[in-house]
Amino acid sequence: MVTTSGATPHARKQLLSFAFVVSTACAHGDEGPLKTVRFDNADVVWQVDDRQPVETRPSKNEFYRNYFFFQELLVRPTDRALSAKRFSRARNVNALGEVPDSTWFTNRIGRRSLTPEQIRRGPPGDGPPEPDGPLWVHEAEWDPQPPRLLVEDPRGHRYVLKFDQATIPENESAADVIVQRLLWACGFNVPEDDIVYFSREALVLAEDAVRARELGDDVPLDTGKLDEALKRVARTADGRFRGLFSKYLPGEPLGGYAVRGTREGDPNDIVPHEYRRELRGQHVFFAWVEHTDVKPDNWLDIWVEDPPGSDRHHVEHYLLDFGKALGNLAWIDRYPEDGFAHLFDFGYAVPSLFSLGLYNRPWDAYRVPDLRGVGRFGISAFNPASWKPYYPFLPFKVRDALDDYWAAKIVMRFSRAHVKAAVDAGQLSAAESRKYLVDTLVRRQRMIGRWAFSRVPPFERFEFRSTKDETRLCFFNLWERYGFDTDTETVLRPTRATIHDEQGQLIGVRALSRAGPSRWCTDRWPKSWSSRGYTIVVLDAVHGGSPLPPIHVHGARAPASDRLRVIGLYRLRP
Amino acid sequence: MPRGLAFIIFLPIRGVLYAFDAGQLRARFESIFFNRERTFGAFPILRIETPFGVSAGGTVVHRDLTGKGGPRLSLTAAFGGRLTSGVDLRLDTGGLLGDRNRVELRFTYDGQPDVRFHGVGNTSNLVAPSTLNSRLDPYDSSVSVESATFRDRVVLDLTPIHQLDERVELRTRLAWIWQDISERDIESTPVNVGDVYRVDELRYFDDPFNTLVLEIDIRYDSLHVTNPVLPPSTQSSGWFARAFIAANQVLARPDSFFFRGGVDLRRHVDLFAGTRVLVLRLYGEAVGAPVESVPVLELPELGGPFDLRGHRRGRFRDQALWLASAEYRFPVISVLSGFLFVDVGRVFSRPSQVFDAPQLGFGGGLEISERTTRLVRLQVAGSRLGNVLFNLEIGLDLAGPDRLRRRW
Repeated sequence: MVTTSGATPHARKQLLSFAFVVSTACAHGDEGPLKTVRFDNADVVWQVDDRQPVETRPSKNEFYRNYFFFQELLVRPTDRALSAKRFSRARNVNALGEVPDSTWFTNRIGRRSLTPEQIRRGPPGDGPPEPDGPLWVHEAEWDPQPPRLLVEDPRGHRYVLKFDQATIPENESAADVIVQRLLWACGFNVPEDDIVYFSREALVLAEDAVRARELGDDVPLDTGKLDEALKRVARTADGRFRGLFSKYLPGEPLGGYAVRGTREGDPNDIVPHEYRRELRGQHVFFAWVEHTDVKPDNWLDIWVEDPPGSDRHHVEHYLLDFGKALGNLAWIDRYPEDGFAHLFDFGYAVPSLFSLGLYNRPWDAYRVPDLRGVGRFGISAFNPASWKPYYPFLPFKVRDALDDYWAAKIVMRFSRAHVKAAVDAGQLSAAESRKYLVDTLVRRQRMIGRWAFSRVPPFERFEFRSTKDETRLCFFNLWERYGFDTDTETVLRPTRATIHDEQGQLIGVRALSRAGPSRWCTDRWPKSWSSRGYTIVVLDAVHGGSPLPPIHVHGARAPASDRLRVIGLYRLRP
Repeated sequence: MPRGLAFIIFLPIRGVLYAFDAGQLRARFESIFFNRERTFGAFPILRIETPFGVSAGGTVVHRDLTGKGGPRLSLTAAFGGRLTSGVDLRLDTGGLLGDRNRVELRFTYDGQPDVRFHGVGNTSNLVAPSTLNSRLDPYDSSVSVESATFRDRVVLDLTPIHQLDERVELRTRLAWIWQDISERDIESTPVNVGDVYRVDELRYFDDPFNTLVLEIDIRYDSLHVTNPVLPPSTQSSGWFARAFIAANQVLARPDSFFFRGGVDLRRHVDLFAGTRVLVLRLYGEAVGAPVESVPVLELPELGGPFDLRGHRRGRFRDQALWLASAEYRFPVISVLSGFLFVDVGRVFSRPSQVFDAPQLGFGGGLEISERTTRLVRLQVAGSRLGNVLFNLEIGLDLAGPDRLRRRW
């Protein structure tokens, strides 16, 4: 069940009815969206209330790594190919194609202003523990080296404490915090992750301290064993540890969310995950920060009390564990295909095998500077279109250009100062490494923007400007705003606007002209053209001489003011 | 219908993987076969080699007997295939004597019911036993017959190993070897050696003997990856060189002292990206005595899955040999890689024979590796003589031809 919060019941109806009319348009392809897609004359929905009480705790999703990999690599692609199923547009978007706030995603830098300082601090919360401790160690595990500890600080806050490998000091902890800050700013839910330097004396064994083991046969933990395990981790020159403290999420963990469909037992989860724009759009976000370790045990659904202390619960959705991002998976797992191919990728395996290795793979000559704390993260072989995570991920497979465009818009909202703030939070000791990461993130950001905006006309912030007798439509061209129009070949601009009535009948044609830096407006049309209220403006655009899919801007008169306002956007897909 | 068929095809694999993951079978396996600290445990070994069939076994290892990075112990046992049984027990001092010194004590027993014998020399003319009018001279015959003999062998080694620097290692090996080479007591294919060769001319045949060996072995190893994101098992570039000389004395027999020496030189050339690698190898070995005075199965030999591939094990034996090999390795994806190779070489007893009619082997295969270890090696090899040999090895530690293969 979906309801709206902070919006009128009408707005709720609008979100649902929009999904309906779009599917109608697909079913009547001959008529096209100009005839079939209509929006309710209502405020745009910016928040979905998927926090309705869930009476019974949903069952936990277990992650079965090999089974998951086989399913996603072979079984499901084969089934998709044989069923010839076509995946439609994202379904959880509002009338402007944006993702409303929900338990999955909160519009932050994409819609609101964030200061660099806010990004440097990350998600608001209780902050990291004091370095002087004591940090009570309750549990440790180190079969996957290096060790991870469960610690508790004097405030009673519990953290997962992770360390960097001695051979690649700072890499994982820095990557985790930097990417955690960036993804939080994008809008995702993440735990509080912080880096703290502390001495060995700050770690104190709790009475119940155990070494956890996979089959549950925990054994008591003693100081000697802990010290032995800590020999494997990086330390500073003065002997301190650099720890990544990831605060426990409040609530009961339910495992990762499903790659497809919805979570059984969660009535708020009504949009199949492969149709969620924020999951499809993660392709762009993750490509930006080279977060390839995409698998269900790096996501976590939490059954939270709402409000805390009550017996009302709902499910919140988190992203976790970014230590292998920023190219660190390539280093840690010795996996040169990182970011380019799935763990087993037929698209590369077949030509490599049959060409006897003569096939030149994009990662073959990929090199980056050797900098302390920096993984294999660069730009020379980066291609946002062909970027791939370690495991196949269905929402990425079925995403479309509109999902990429939505995510790229958010990525482009980060200024260099924002990026620098996130990198600073990673506390890399080498200034050269910090500068390299900022430069690389900014360059990858611009590569993503250029790619995504060149497939969908990047026109935003539409508004009808009306006088007593005339109306025109104005908007911003993000291509120009971000400085991608460096030469005539790369020009991307609107070319023509056609005005249609509610039935989709053509009323007139208008030219466009520049109305300011990166701002464009149509020529004015007489108010009589919009006398019946519902108006559709079809904007055509070109990029480097080639036409782009048009945008349909739907307008209607606001009931209160009788002024023409934008009630919906329908972007055609390339 | 096709979707249903695909569902049925995938179902058993899905079932196995689900059971493997949901049942935590790997962890359960490890909990059974390894101790909690993962210092003591067991893992399986499987080999399939034409024409010997399947040999299977396992290795038990203890990486730290004293718990302080000290002695290491491994015990490998295998059965089937070339072996009736084989046992290999190694005790290594590990870090007990410091970073640069260690001592390896090794006990090996293998009973081989099917050691192939094709006579001595480089002859390519392999004939069927039925074409023979009389038994052949094993040392001097223009034709060759594939036959089999039986060998029991026990070896006790003591090898101090000194690391001269990061790349250079000096091994001094003292070994006692007991061997019994005799007729097989079964009727099968190929024929018993005594049916086609005059075995009475073979020294130490059907006459168990003891050998004492003192060997100096020096190795230089600079193999490395050229791209830090590649797994160490890739070995993109560098040299591996080994030279050894061994004094062999068959005990309590007159005129039975002989030297054995050899050089093994490998060059790994990074052709592209650290993953397209050309492995060039030159190998030479000789015994410093007439062939008639050396135990026949101790003669330098070519053939088998590593040396002059495409030919049966023990296909060529003589006083000396040379082997040149070029192997091209290329990546397929992730853990899977492929290789193609050409081997050229021959055995000889006179300098004039060195470059006369060398033998050729060629082929290719696939390997599955993890970060540091090759897990599976599948190889198909052929030769001008018409053999097509198949070799599959599955195990956690395949020494293979790369670094540490030892000739007895």
